[in-house]
Amino acid sequence: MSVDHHVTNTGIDNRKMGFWLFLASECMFFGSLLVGYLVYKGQSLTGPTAEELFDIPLTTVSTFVLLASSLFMVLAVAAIGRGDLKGLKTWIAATAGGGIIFLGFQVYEFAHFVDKGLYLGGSNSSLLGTTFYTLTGFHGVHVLVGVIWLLSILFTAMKKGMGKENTLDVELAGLYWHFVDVVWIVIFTVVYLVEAV
Amino acid sequence: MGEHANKESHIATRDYLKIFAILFVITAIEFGIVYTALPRPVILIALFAMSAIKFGYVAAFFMHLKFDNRYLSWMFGAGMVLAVVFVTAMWFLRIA
Repeated sequence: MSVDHHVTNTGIDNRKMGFWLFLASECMFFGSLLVGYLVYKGQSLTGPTAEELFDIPLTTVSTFVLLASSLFMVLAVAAIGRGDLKGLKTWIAATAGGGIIFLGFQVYEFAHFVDKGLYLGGSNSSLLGTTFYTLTGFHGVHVLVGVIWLLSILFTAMKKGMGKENTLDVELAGLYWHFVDVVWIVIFTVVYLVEAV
Repeated sequence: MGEHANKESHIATRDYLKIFAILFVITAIEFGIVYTALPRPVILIALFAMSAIKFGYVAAFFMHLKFDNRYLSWMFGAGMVLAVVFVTAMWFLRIA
């Protein structure tokens, strides 16, 4: 599980430092996808428009679900920090559950949009379809990776047990999960809410 | 759940719940303001401001940046600044 961390000149564990560097690079990644959406916004020649497609109330509910999962995640980190294994398992499971529900909303939304004629590629695709699905699709994949990570922590906690010495392991998963939530906060506002104004 | 501050997190469970409540309320306001008759620029500014506040709360408290070494804030902030500069530059290039 965890190894003894080396003494560093910043006092920060190398894994934590490295992970924050990764998150900084992820800002650039999602920034690129977001600007791709924004630059081509409103320029589709074919296919349905965003105004016709977006269901703001439904997306707001999924946003609430992801926010709640972020709360569950901090409670999971707090639990392992106290050495509370039962609390960790409960809140990690709840976090993963929230992620799965969010993914369910995304799958429903994508299926609905495809049904209405919005496609990612092919001869019937549009700028909206390509940019929207790429942006939200990559976010969805990040959520899926997060869910798998959380379930692996849950599995480890159930099979081998975890203690306070594993706090950083859970904290790093928490950082990833909160970042995914923060990206959705931006996407929800810039892509969905701005369209509804 | 313990009600005392966790030494690792410096934040008590009830404070996490308060922060979540703030995020919940802001999200509800974001949803509601879209359906008001306010001028579009006002709504847009309000939406971006609320989004930034939520971002700040999650980064500062849920991701612990407020309590961690300042190097981490600088690193993440650098990524954020680069992303914002890039998005802004590409946005203006599109109309160039």
